[in-house]
Amino acid sequence: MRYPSLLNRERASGKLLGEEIFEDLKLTLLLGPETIDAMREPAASEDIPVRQSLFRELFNPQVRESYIRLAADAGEIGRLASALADVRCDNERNCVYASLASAVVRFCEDAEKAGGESFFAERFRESFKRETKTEEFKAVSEACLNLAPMLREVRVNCFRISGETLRIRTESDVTVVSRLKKCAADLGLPESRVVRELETHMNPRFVNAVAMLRPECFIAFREFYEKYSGFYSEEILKYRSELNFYLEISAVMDTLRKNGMPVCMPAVSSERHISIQGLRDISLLCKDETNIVPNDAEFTEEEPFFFLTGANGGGKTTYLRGVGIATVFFLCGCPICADSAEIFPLDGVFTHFPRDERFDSEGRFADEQRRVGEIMKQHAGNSLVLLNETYSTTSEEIAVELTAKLAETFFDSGSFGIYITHQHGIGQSRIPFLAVLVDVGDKNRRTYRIARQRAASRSFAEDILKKYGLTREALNARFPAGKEAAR
Amino acid sequence: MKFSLLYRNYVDEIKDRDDPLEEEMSNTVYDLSIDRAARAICRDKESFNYFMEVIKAPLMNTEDIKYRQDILMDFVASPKLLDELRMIFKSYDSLQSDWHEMCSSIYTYGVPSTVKGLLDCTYESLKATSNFARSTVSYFRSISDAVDKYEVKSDGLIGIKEYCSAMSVNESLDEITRIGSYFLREGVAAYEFRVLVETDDTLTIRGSSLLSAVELEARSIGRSLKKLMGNITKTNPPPDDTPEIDMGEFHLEESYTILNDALYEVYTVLSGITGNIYEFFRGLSGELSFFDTGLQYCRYLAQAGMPMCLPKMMPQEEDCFRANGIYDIQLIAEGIAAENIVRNDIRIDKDTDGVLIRGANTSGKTSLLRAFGTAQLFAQAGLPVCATGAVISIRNAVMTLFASSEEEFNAGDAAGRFEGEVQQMARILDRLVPYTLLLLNESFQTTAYREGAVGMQHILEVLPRVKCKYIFVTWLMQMFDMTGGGSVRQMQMGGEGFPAYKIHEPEG
Repeated sequence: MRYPSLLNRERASGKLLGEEIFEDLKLTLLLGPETIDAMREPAASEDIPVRQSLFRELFNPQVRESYIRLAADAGEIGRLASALADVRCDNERNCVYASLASAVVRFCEDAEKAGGESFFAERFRESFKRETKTEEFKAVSEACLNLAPMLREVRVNCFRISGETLRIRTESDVTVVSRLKKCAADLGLPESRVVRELETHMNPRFVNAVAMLRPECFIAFREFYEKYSGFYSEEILKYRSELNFYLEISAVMDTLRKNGMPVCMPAVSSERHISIQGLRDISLLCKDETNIVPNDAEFTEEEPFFFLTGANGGGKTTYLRGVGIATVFFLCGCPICADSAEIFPLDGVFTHFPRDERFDSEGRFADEQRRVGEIMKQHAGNSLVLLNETYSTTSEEIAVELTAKLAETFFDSGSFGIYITHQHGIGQSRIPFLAVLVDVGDKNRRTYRIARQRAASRSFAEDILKKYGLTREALNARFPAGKEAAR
Repeated sequence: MKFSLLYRNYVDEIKDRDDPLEEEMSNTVYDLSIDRAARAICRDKESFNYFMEVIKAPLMNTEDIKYRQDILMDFVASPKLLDELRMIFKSYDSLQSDWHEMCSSIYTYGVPSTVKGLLDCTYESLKATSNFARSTVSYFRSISDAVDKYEVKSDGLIGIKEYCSAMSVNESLDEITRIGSYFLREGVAAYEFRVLVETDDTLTIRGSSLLSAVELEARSIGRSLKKLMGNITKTNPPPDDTPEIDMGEFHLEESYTILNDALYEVYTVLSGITGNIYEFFRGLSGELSFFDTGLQYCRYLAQAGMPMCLPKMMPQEEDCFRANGIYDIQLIAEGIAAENIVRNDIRIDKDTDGVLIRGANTSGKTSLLRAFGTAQLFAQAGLPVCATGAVISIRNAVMTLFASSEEEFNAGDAAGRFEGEVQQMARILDRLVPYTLLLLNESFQTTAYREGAVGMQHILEVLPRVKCKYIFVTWLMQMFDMTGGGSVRQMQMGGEGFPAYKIHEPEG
């Protein structure tokens, strides 16, 4: 069977986002490796709205439930497939293959019931509907059903250990722990939890011994393998990352909505611009931060590139990540965390963030230059470039010169982008500036907005009685006469 | 399940505790100098600390208080029972720490790096736990035997006696003891183990569970042969002819790993169960130290020739405090003879919002305030109070605001002394609950008296709205003008023409 993709209508876009982008934007903390794997290859621009349609359907709990089931099935297939690759004897291979085939059958049966009417959902479901109607599938399915009790049976064995001698038996009995647990239950005690860490691949000699003790089971496994070894194809494994991609992104969107944040499907713009209203940096979710301050982002042909300056810790990087994440999500056909958005399908996204001391022989400055060089080589104008304090590791004089030169190169190339910098010497540049405004309105945490203005601070003072709420008026308001105040 | 002699319903008592109120209670016992009186009574620092903790957590219903009062009365009638139980529970309390010590000594040299070493350590831990289990279970009999010898009337002690009698013949406890006795031999070599091994669908072993541990019979062999061949043992034959495959002796690592996992599972579950059984009586040693202090307290007052009584406790709604012959225990601790300690009669009923007390310096105002507060807290701790008779309703909290020294307010705080008092008052109002007793001693006198009186008056006005009663010892005479003739009682200590240290209504 040819397994239809849930990500691309025809073929993949051929674009590739760098691994470091996901690290810089902190998406590695928010999403699993398989999802990031799927996101490294953005959608072909005509597939963006098609993916968005499936995302819309996944907001429906029933459709979501069916895809969650499929993802679990796909996970099982992956686990069993990797076990099959590690088998060390025929008996083990036959047994594991029977389990794997059963998992594939389950996936196919769940796939034909998967919800959704969008292009990807329907093509996927119809394909599996056809598959489950084939004679081969029916035969495999029936055989798996017959093998199920045998697969369960061979998993439990008794080891008799005496001194250095080991014997394997088929015996079963009540365990000492079961007896203890029964006593605990009779005495009304809470159940003791045992964390099991044992994970030992069964020695092939043991497997063969079990096969000798239960010959009828292992003969059946062998016959099944010989007859249906072509049933399983590795191609089905791709669904793990494809399903995880949709489900993980949907789960992130659920969290956002639960915390009162907006989720929108950005419109695909035919004109070269990025326009996002009420944009939030969702990587802050990793810090359990849910009160995320919204900002707007506007990049046009006239003003494609900005410097972003302001006090340390003022929210510059947060803004940068917010823009980066929204663009990457859009390019992958995902919803974004914003009030509304219209984005032109770009060819690439590039990030240049400060790195930890992890370069080998080269210094930090050399590493910065090398990474800048790589971006210059790859970007072709229709990109988003996010530079975070690039050239902050050399003398101010050199840094100002290099910063101005680099920014102007991107500005002139028409690339969209932001360059965070502390180099005040570039103040006279023709490149427009953004700055952080400190918002002290929320006393629980510092909040930030980005604009082309600077902020002012304020202070206040109160007298002792008012301060502690012990004036007559305050007391009467708090403990009203004729009413019993609850604590 | 947990037995407690202090709390009729242990779980609920703990659950209902309120941390902010606990903090407030610490201030209260400090202001009332209860710690100073307790030091004179308690046997040692440990019992002092325990006593203070109990005092800081007053009981909130009459039945709970009666539960504690009755147990104390049993111990007053049979002090030897208290001694016996203290001894039993002292040794009971050391059981768990001994077990922990034994288990940790097994790993003195760190976690072994070999599978066999790990298995040996697991077995030793299991062996220590088996001993702990058997010892713990044996205490049911000891406790039951001890209480059986005395005639007890309190629900608490009758309950413990009946429970222990029933548990000493409990089949599940017998089974636990039986399983515990499997693991008493030296090392795993002394056994034949049967282990249920479970794999997942990839044939990866995920867990093993012990089915049986059968002691091997030692074969009687000559000394010279033994020296030559080591400890040879004979395996008991399998009980049936279940088919089995002999894997020989080539799988030691795997055997040890599987066996270690199975024994570790038994160890974990047995530890958990024994820990839970141990919990039944854990901490009773401390609780008994409270009753011991209670007993010492009764003896202390008797020795000083001062009266005491078990107060009649009333529910919160009764909102009353009536005491005859009340006095401040602190005076005994200060070495004042019984005949010089003046006792007062006090009656504060539901219709009284609060009491203002004035009087000359050293007229006994603060002492009386302490007597009030101490009696309230001791009564709610199930203890007798320093009075000849008392009817006291339960208070949800007892809070104090005593004038503090200049130094205290200045320490680490930019606020001035008055602001410090205002801060404390604001905190008290934040934590105020219905039926609180608020004891104020010369508060708000750190500013102009007129302003202090007005500020305090505004506060006192709202307290009845949350059913909070107050007793205010003060020099703010304006307060007496502002509150005259209403539901606020005005009292005076001593004064011209009145006996010293006696409280009375002021003239005019």
